[in-house]
Order: sequence, then C-alpha cells, then structure tokens
Amino acid sequence: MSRITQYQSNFTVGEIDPLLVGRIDIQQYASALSKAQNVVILPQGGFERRPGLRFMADITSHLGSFTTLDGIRLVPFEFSTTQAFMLVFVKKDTTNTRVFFFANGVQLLNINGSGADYLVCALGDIDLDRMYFTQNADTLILVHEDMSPKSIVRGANNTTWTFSTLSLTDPKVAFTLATSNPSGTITPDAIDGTVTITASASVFTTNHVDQYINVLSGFGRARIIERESATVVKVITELPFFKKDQAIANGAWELETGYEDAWSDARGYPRTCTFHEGRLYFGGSKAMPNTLFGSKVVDFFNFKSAEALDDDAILVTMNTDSVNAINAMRSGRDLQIFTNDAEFFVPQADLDPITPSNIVIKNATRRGSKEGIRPVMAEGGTLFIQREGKAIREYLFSDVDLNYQSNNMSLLASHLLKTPRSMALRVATSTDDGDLLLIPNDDDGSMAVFSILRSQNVVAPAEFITDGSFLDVSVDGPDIYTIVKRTIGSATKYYVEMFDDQRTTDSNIQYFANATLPDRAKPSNTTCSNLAHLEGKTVDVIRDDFVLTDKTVSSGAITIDAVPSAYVEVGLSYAVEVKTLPAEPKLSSGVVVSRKRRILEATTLVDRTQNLAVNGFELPLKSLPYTLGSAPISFTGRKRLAPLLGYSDTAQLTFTMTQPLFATVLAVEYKLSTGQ
Amino acid sequence: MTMAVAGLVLAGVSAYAQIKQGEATKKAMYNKAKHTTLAGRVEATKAKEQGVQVLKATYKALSTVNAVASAGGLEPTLGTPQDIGTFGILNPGLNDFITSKDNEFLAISSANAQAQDERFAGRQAKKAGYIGALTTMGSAMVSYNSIGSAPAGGTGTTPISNSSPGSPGYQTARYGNVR
Repeated sequence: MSRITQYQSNFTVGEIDPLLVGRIDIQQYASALSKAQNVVILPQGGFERRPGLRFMADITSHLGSFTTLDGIRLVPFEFSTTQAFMLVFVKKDTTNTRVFFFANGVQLLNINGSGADYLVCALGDIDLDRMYFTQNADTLILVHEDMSPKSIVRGANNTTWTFSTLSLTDPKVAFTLATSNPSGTITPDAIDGTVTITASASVFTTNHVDQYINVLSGFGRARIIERESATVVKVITELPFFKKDQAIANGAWELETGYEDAWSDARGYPRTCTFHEGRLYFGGSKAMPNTLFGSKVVDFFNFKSAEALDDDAILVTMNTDSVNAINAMRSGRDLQIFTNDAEFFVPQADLDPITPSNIVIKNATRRGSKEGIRPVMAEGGTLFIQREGKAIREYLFSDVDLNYQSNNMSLLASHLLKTPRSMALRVATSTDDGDLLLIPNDDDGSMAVFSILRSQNVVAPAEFITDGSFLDVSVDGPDIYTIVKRTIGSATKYYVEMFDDQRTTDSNIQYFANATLPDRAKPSNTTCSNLAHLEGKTVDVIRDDFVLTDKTVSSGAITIDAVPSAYVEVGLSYAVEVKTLPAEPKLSSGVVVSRKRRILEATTLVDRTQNLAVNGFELPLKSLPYTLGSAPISFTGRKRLAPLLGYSDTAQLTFTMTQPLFATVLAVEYKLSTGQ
Repeated sequence: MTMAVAGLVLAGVSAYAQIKQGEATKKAMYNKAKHTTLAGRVEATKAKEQGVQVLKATYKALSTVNAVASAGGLEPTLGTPQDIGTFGILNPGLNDFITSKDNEFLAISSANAQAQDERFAGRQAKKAGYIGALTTMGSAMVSYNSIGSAPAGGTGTTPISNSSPGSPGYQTARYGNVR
C-alpha cells in the first residue's frame, strides 16, 4: 500500500466527456474534471460559482400559443459604445410579434410613448428561432425565408423605435423561363444603349416590363424598361442590335418572359444577412437557398443587377455538388458563408474589394452548420455549431494553408452539446476572466458554457442548470441575457433573466436603496413582497450577507427574520457540483486504474470563498474564535480536510456548496492511498 | 501644196495620237479603278477578318468567364457571371463586330466610289482625246484650205507659222479668210 501526494493545479480542461475517462494517457487528464456543474472555469486555472440570474421580466402573457422554440428570440443591438440593447422578441400571434427592450440591465418602458412596454412588429407567422439579423448604425435588419425583410430603427432616444418593411429593389430572376414569337416586325431606333423599339403590331403589355427581347436571326438582346404603348417600348440593350431603323422580320425575334422578383411571397425571402464592405448581403432565399445576393455598394437596399460594374449589385449562385443552403454568414477577415453541408468564403487579395468581376466563393471545409444558430466571432476565428449539433467548430484562417480550417473545439466535451438552440459569446471583460461561450440545450434545458482563452489553449467546458430550462441566450456588451422557462405553481412561465456575478440565486430580485425595477426598495419591515414570479417556490434568502433559512413565497411575499440594514436577495437555489476525475498517480510501478483507492486528506486552495464542501464536508472557513451571529467571511488561503474515509474504485473529490454564497477554488492537493 | 498636205498629214497623225492617248488613259483609269475596287475588297476583307477575330476573341473571353466562374464555385449562367459575360464581353465584342462590319461596308463602298470616279475620268480622257483629235483635224483642214491665198490686206509674205495665236496678224489672217 502506497501513499502519494497529488496536486491538481488547474481545472482548465473543464468537464470532459465520460467517454474519455479511461484516457489517463492524455495530457489533458491531469487538468480535467468529470463534472463541472454551475461553475465557471477561470482562465487562471481555478473555478468559481456561476453568477446568479437576475429576474428581469415575465413575458409569459405576451407569448401566444406557440412552442417556445419558435416563439421567443433574443437579439442584441449595439447602437454605440455606450448604448447597447437587448431586444426580446415574443410572438404574440400569427401576425404580430412584441419586442421588448432592455439596456444596461434595465427594461425600457413606455416605448414610443404608447404606454406599452413593447413595440408591435408585424413579422407574420414565422418561427423566430430561424430569424436572422444584422445591424448597421441605428438599423437592425431582420430576415426570414417566410417574411419580407424588416427593419427596426432606433430613434432619437432609447425608447423611440420604428418598425418597417424594407423597401428593396429586387433582383430579377427567371424561375420558369418562357419564350414566345409574337406576330409582326420590330424596329429599333438605335443599336445600343437605351433604345426605342416599335412593333408593327400590338404585342407589348405592361407585364413585359423587365422581360427581354431576343433577336434570333443575327443578334440583339434587350430588357424592356418601359412600355409606352402596345407597339412601342423602351429597352436597354444587353447585346446590341445589328442595324438601327431596320425592321427585324416577323419570326426573327422573340419575347423571353418569366423574369420576376427574386423575393416574393411565392418564392420566399432571404434567409440570412450581413453587412460586409459597404454592401448588404443576403445569403440564400427560400427558392434560391444557395444564392448570395449583394447590394450595390452603399446603396444597401438596391439588389438589382445593372452592367456588372464594380459597385453594382451581385447575384451569384454556388455551383457545388450538393445543395449547400446558406444557413449563416459572417463578415470577418473575409465574407464567410456557412451552409448545411460546407463552409465557404469569398477570398479577397490584399485590399481588393469584392466586385462582380472578381467574386468567387471558395469551399474551405465540409462540416456543415446547424440552421438557426448564428456563428459568433472569437479572437479572429468564427465559432459555429456543426450541422448535427454535436460539435463546436472554430473556422479559422490558416496562414500556412492559405485556407480556412474548421477545428473541433468541443472534442473533449461533446456530451455537453445535446440539442443546441442558440449560441452567444461574452467577450472577456477583464483580465481575470476569459471569453464565455454559452449554448443552451433544448432537450434538458441545460446550458453548455465554455471558458475560452485561445492564446493559452484554454477551452474549459462546464454546464449550467437551473430550476427550469434555458431556452435562449444572448450577449449585450458585458451583460448576458437568457430566456428561462420555469414552472411556477403548475403554470409554465417564461422569464427574461440576466446573469449577475454579484448575486448567487436564480430568478432573484434584490431589495436595496435606490433599486431599479424589477429590484425593489429595501423594506422597512420584515416583509419582502413583489415576488409573484416565484409564487409557491421555496427560495434562498440572503439578508445582509446572512443566509437565512429557506422560505416559501406566498401571495408574492416572504417574511424574513429581521429588517435588513443593507439588502435582501431572494431567489431560487441552484446546485454547484464539481467532481475530479478518478485519481491516477501514474506510478513508476504502473497505473492504478484497477486498484481500490482512497483519498486520505484534501487541501483546497480557495480565494474569497464563503462556503465550500468537499466530499460532503463543509470546510470551516471561519477562524477561531467564532463570533456567533456574524456574517460569513470571505476566506482566501488553503483549508485542509482530513481524514477522509473509505476506499473506492475511483477516488474522486467532489466540491459542493451548501449555501448560496461565493466560492472560488484555485487548486487542490490530496493524499492518495492505493490498494493492491 | 506639199506643205499643206504635209500639215494635214501631220494633223491626222496628231489627231490619231490624241485618240490613242485618250483611249490609253481610259484604259489606265479603268485598270486603276479595278485596282481601287480590289484594294477596297482587300480592306473589306481585312475588316471582315478583324470582325472574325473579334468574334473569336469574344468567344474566347466568354469561355474564360465561364471557366473562371465555375472554378470560383459559381454557376456561370446565372446572375453576375452572366452579366459579366453579357456586359463585359459580349456587348463590347458585338459592338466591335458591328464596327468591323461597318468598316467592311465602308471599304467596299468607298473603293467603289473611287473606282467609279476613276472610270469616269478614263472615259473623260478618251472623250477628250477624240475631241482633241477632231479639233486638230479641223484646224488642219482650215489651214489646208487657206494655204496659197493672200490674206486680206496682207503682204502675202508673212508665214502663218510665225503668227502667234492671238497676234494681230493671226487674227487678221483667220477672220479675214472667214469673212
């Protein structure tokens, strides 16, 4: 029997896939966890309790009879460096969607002076989870293949917003091309440019505008731009006529018809959009899923092709061996295009702009992306969810290969990606945190969270759970908003909540001086009211840093033990659990996988920690002498816990919390005894 | 008498020469017209060849556009690649072709017009030869008839050949005889 001291200095691999539990040979094993629930892995190596969720609004009554998948959507909107908004789309009925606005953690009320706290947007009967958006300055553009593109424009102040249908100049496309040979001759009055054509018989109708005249004997092709009469039209030549003022004989010309707007109720509308280098791009449409539409330069709503000059509109269809319906686009180093089957980009040499004459779409990788999940930018790369929803891939340009690569970032933790619904990235806000990639799962309502610091190869997954289900997540600057479905009483409720690292409960509100709704003013008695959103729930209560016994909300209120002097926080509890992998000391005599093992003692390094339990034993963080009735302290240092009893097959340490307080674990040392 | 006959003969020879010269000039001008026509046809052929080359170049450029679009992952027969082919290649190509056809027509019609002028000049030269010959013979005949009779008011010793046209003596001799 041998005793070995082991030291896990960091947890930066995060929770790894149970399928990897036997991989004691890989380097990551030493820094990994078998479970990381409701913690955030720090790029420095430790982990901390995840932030609590601040209750923001109850949108249940605004949601019509739709499934939550298609009825609610979070959309960020950044107007300026200091004015960022979170828009919450809630589908009221098959015509109208209500949009709620939040800024800096506060809901904006009385939108447009209407008295309502929302903007009514006639989006029609669309599933919001497939709605795509892009933003430029004060304008948010919304597209969906079953909806004519819309815009929401911020007005003079934060509560002034305008919703409208975009007035687009559509490209013309012949979905069903037809030709006919009307009787009579036609005579052009010039050979090229804008030409007046006179027919010997009445052949032209108003429907012929934007249709074509082709000369069959010889050459000449022109688009009709104006009908003057049944016998006279104005055309713009695409190919010149051979002779002017010379009749083209009956039968020697034809009308080519079938050209119509590329986007319509019948043909569908654009699926994705992004701004890129002075153009607005629409990626795919219902009828043309693999076509890229680019507007005229700085004429964002003009998509009609002209003479293919450098700043003219662009319409290109990907010619590949599969459908490649465009699911997403991103303006990055290049214009990146994500389809259901592969990833593409529009290469540009040096500072050359994309023009009709040089546009090409190169296939980079063949993974396919999941529809309805917008890729996010992360440190020069683009993160996207693979088609089946089982991997996060980083679309990153390789200077060696001069091409993009799609590396699997979630290889070690693909089990946390179940049925991803959306994805958001909160960029690091200080040096002590990394980027935070958040992905809610549909099937169990959990949220996979990856702490990312690419420069240090840190990709540390963890899992957030709550009393309910995470439905959607989005980031507005430093603020992370989420939609949570909760069961209150027997009713299903949909709440807008926001992660707040100063709080340690979910769906909480705080009572303090100068509070802003939905937080409340500090009560002058022991009753904390306005808790209707938690009616019937057993809640955690923290008063002035004291954790009180659990309360049950009744009639929207609870009664606490004393009048607070500074604050009260009331919210739902969430369980923190972190479990190390089976201890494997890698002795010179061999591995100990098959042996019984026992952790004799554990010394945990913690930082500003108020509560922590190891293998079910709460660490005594207070120092002697105890002062009865004092608030919990924030302890920084190491705490030894011994003896720990019992042999097991795995010998793992489990960190939990017994109270809704703060905890940060930096590292752990433990003594291990192995049997024969 | 001998001198008069000799003069008549000489005039005949001269007239014949004038006729032959006119005919020769006409022939030369007709030959020149033929060359001009041919030169025009050559120019027209060149223009036509240029047109053919334009079409070939257009076709080649169009195939390049198709190939580049396809290599670039794009459907070449739709949208922008088609526009590039139409507006960037076919339209200027066909305009150049039309220009070359115009040049071909101009070369032929211009040569034909010049040849026609030359033929006309030839005919005129021939006509001038005949007229010159007729005039020469007429003058000779007049001279022949007047040799031997004294000019009215004259000394009879002033040789005709010494009278310069327009001189008083010539005037007198000529009109004096007529009258």
